[in-house]
Amino acid sequence: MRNIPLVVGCIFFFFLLLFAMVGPSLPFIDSELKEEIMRKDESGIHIPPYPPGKVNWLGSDNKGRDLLSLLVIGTKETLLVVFCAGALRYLLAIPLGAGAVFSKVLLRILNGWNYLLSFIPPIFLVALFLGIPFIYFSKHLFFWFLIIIAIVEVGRVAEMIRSQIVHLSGNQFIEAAITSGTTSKGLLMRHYFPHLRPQLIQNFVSDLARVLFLMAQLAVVQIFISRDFISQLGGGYLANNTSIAYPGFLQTIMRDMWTHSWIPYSTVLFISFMIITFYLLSEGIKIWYKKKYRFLS
Amino acid sequence: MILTKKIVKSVITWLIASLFIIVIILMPRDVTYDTTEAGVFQDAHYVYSFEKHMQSFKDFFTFIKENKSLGNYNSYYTIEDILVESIPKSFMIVLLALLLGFIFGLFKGMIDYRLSISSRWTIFGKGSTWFFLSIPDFFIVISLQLGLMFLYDIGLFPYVDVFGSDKVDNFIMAIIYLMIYPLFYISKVVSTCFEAEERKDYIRTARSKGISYNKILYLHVLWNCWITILTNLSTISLYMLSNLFIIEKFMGYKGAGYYFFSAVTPGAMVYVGGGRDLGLANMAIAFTLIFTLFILIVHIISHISIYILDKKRMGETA
Repeated sequence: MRNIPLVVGCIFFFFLLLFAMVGPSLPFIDSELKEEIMRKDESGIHIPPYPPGKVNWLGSDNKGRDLLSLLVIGTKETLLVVFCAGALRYLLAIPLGAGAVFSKVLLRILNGWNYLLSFIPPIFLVALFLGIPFIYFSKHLFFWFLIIIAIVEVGRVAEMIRSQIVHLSGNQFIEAAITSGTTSKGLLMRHYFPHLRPQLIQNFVSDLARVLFLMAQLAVVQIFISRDFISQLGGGYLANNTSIAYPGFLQTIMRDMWTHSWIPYSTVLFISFMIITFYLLSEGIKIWYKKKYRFLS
Repeated sequence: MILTKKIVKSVITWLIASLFIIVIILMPRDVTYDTTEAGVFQDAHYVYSFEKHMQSFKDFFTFIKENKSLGNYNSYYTIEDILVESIPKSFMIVLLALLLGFIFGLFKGMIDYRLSISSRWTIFGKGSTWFFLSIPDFFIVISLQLGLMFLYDIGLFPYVDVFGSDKVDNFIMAIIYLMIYPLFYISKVVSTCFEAEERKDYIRTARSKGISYNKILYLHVLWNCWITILTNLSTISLYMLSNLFIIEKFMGYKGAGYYFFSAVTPGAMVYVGGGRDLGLANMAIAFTLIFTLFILIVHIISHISIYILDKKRMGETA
């Protein structure tokens, strides 16, 4: 059987990497992200956002920047943010999950956290945390954002790791290793980890998709990874997204949806493409490992 | 005994979860601002004080005690009016979406399983389920909305109101949007469960007795899968609540999710000198309790039905 998900996933991922690495120097990309506040032609004066056409293939955003260029250049930041949040989640989850096997206290904490979260929708918790003024006005909002996104689902991952370890502990090769005097470090590195690796990698990749999905949901309710405050009429200041990661372009989705539908649609298309890529890779990795460790086929 | 223990555990967790959220909601949010001489916003500082936090708790209870009400939403409506109006609206769509998603999901799961037997068709069955579970559902929502508007523009489809909350159209669209996830989730659970059961001895026995394929599938296997399906019920309803916020905001559907988010996120505007108080903290708390109560009820229902199913199965084998 051919591993179609892995092949397609790799091809998609190659495109994303291409965008991230050499995006700004691609021929059809405006690397400076020029803001065009006005455009003149025979039919009169136009103001942004400009609809899709010959000049802007996917149209432009509210500042007159070419949307395709924005999205292609934003790929790098999106991948980076998603990867950081995912990596942080696993850095916390692995010790927590492994620790919960040996320590009753950690196990209690883990179970409690998971059970608690089965009552609170994650997006709701993230929105509440990020609304606390201390975090909301923090200069390190970006890090808070990553930490909170990582922590919210850390329990699910830790539980997965814990149950895997418990499952492995019952095997004879572990008992054999213990009786032959393997040190606990050796046990972990040589006997547990190789068996955990397939599941870890596969879950990590699909978690990247979940992180991106959560970020997109948060953007719809006006929560961003980085923002500045812009003075508005009437003395207020509007929190304005400054990141060029994909979800940021959903900031004005409520307004754009009915008038300039190309902005949310292209953005959501790119987000979906990335999410599908991660899921395809995850599925592909699963099949690949399954085939690798099958002796009869 | 096991059942009561489970229910008690759920209720306690519900209380802790609600308290946890209320503590965050009632956190004091007065901010000091740095401005230039002309009063232009520079920066904001925040210092947490435990006394103030406690005080806001006390204030909350004294307010309810004295006024016998949660307060006013605006000069026309009290918060209770909003609750009474918005909760049934959301409750109806969640319940119907859950029910329809469940029924269609069951069918889709069984079709997926039947199709997966021949590898040529499996892409339409399990492949499509995988696709719809992977793709973010707001992509489907936006595509549907733009598609409907486009179809109306070229005159192929009657006008469907996709924004608002007062028409039947909105109601139906909201149900369709909310249904997407439970439908495909359940079909995945069902087809996976069928695959897990297919090699078990009781199926071989039933086959050797000459019972028809369909009867085995729909009576024996499905019956054994119910427990697996029901354990996933609380995950599904939790996810649906998450989605409810987004979809109601997106559609302008003025239900519980819509008001809740307007109460709980202080908004994107900052005013110098203004606090960051959640203006409608009382409303946020009321909605929190109702949402978590809904999840609690789902937990209890799934505990009870699993218990009954388990008992029945035990009775059969004994």
